Amino acid sequence: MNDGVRVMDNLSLRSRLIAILVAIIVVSVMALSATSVTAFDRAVEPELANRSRLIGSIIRSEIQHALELGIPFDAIVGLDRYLSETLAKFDEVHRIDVNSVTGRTIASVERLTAPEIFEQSTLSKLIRLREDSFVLSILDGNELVGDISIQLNPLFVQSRLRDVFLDVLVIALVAALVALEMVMMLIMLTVGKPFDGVFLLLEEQRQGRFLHTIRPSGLGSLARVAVRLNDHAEDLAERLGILSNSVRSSARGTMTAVIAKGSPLRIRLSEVSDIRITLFLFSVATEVAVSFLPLYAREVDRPSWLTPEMAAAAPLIVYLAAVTMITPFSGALVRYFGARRLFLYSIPPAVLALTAIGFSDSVFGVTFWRGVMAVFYATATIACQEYAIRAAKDQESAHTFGTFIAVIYGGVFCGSALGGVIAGRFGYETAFITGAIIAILSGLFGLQIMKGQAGDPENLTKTSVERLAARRIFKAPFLALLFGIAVPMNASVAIFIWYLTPMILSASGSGPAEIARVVMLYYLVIVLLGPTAANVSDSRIGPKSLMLCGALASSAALMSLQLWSGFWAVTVAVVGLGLGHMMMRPSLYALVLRMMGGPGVGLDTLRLIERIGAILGLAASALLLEVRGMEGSLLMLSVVLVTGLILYVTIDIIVRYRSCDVRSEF
Amino acid sequence: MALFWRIWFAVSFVNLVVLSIFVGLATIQFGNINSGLVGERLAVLAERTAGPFKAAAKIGLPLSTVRNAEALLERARQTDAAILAIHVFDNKGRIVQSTDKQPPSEIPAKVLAAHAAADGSSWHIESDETFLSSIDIVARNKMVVGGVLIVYPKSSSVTRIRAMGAELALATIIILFAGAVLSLFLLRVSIGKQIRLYDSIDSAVMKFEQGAWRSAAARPSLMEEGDAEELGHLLEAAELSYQSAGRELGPDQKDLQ
Repeated sequence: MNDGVRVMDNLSLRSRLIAILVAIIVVSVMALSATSVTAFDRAVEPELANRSRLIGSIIRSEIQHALELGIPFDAIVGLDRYLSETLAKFDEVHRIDVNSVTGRTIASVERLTAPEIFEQSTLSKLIRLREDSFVLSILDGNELVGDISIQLNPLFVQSRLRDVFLDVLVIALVAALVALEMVMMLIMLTVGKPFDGVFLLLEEQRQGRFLHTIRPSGLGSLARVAVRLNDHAEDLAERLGILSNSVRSSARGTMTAVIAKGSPLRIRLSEVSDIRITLFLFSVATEVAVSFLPLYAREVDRPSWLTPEMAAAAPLIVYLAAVTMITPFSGALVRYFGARRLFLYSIPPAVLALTAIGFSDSVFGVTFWRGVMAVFYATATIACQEYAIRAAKDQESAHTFGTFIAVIYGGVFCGSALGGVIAGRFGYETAFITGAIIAILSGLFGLQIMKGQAGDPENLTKTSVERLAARRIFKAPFLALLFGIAVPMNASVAIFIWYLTPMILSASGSGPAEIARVVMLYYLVIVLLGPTAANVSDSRIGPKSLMLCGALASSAALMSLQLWSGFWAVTVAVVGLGLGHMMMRPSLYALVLRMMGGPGVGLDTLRLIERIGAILGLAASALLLEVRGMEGSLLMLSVVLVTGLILYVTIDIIVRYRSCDVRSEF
Repeated sequence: MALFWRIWFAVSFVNLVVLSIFVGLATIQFGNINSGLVGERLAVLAERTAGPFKAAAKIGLPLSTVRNAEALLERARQTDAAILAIHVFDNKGRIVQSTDKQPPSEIPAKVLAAHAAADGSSWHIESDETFLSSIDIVARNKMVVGGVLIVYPKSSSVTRIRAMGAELALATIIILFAGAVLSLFLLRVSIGKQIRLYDSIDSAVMKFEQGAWRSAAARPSLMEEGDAEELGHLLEAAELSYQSAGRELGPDQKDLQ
């Protein structure tokens, strides 16, 4: 195909459209976010003022109660202590003054607070509330004896608005990610596939091959051209078909054109983008419970011997175990059923499991159905991954994995945020039902879009390449990659992101919402920058260099916690680990495919080892925390990361050195 | 230009869907924030109201025997005219004191379940029409002997949430309109070349088709520029290849039959 035509075909129009759509949506969502924050600001202010006024009236009634008992106003014993206790109890009160009618201060307490970073930001100036104070008169019978002045803490109001702003920001991100997936689907269906199909047929028919047809689709004349080209192939095949056998054989022998025998084969083009919206929605559906499942499992009925902590952890443990058990077989399942059928078969049980969790009233029910969902989550996501690998023009490209990881993590991000919001407002059952509906929607998209040949079953008989790959998994380079890089990477996610970050932040006074936002940063970094990292991996820099950079970055992120601590230290480490893993994940998959010469046993082994790494990580974190404490656990984890990296690099150098030696001998 | 308008419509439609999702989630989130604030305020009041009952429980007195209980509850109720009722209930859920003239005999099962799960801390839940906020009354031996329950209407909160939804919906319409105008401008500037190219491809296809139904003299020239010319040549080459294959097959047997 000529380069000029290629300009029209995909890249230019597609990338420009994506850029415009994303720009329009980001601007619109930001405008609406600003509107929402100011509207929220106005709407919550009266309620905050009501609460503070109530606190004031409580203090006043206590003082008046003392006066009614005949205690003189300036001789109330312990007034300072009472005011201090009140101040400590209610964060929104900044200062309380009790003054006599002559203006003399009887008692006064003030909260000493350091200005927060938020207070100094431009954002705080935009949404700053006025500093409210209330003055309430104190009566002793019919006599006015003084007043109470309560000054509200502007930082408290700001912290509330900061939470509101961050909530809105999360919602805006969810909306933007949904938009991105919709845009990608729209572009693929209206521009990408129709162009590819028409040009493929044109090129074939120009060379005299009339073997295929395509589904007519696309805008304007493209569909008409497709109909015309299909008709060429069908007409010739039909005309050839009605010839007598002898004439047909002789025609076939003498003709320069190649005509289909029987009906021309309908080409079903596959693209990596085919799985995007489907996988994204499925990931959103299955992750709606992430933010509240431990709480939900703790609230439902449990036997007396099961502690609340164990009840909360049980669904996660069973989930990981179920995913680990099904992972070694899922590659073979994809090849046997085909990615499309396996994905579609996974939808009904996943929907059933989501609904059943919502209606379970015991921890066993919740845990069992979570396990069922884990099995079909594994089959569905691996089906999508295999589809994407087969659809990719360059199977060893990190781009496919970058896309896959970004979509999965985008789904995790949106699912957990969506689940949290819906469960908070309408209850857990509604959140699960919403998840089930989204899973059905994902199935419908899969039914319509995952029609490409990449979704077909494959021959299960092992090829020589696969047999070679099966032997390679026991070789040192592959084992070094698994145990030096993959296991520490997944263990660090389980230990640091899932376990230690919530523990450390909770210990430093952060609430669940704040912890969830910090944890989300890890996923957000990968969602936003993952595709770029995949492109870098495919460039001259290569996957190995990028992976090593990522491993160094993630080790440095964890080690930084030995130098400083607190909320911002953990946040920086979470982002650092996200950046490191963003570079590592697509590169790791690309390297495994290069080593093994394609998907199959190598990829299955990597997936299995990743899951085992996560389980080992969780088990180790539970043990280490008791023995070493949080700081010790983090240090151990950093040491494991660095050791793994050194192990991999050493083995890689040795293997290269030996292969150079072997070559020089020949 | 048909492609341009279709793309513009698609951009506006996607924007509409995204902003609708945003408005839905933001309104739900406002509902969560609002109910949290109301619940916290009522919890402050419940804690304050529970004070004398806690004192009685700590010295082992039954909750129903607290002196001036009605006045204590009424004083708390008067802090906010919207409060529907304040009940004091025992650990079996039976209402022992109330501001209500004819209180129900016991608190709803949903409240009792929340009370059992609260583990001594204050909590609030919502029913269809009310906010229910409560705090446990704990005796000296840390046994929960009952609680104070405040019943607060939800109507004003629902109105606030609807008003928020309406305000955001109005803002969405304005932003959507501005977005549509902006996208019109951006699309023209950014993909104008591609649209012209696509139009020329469309025109190349049309001319090619015209060539099939017009006489040779009136056949339009396929000469376009760049990509469209290339497509025209590809179309013509494919057509020639098809005709050549047809000739090699001989006369169409379907016609002869």
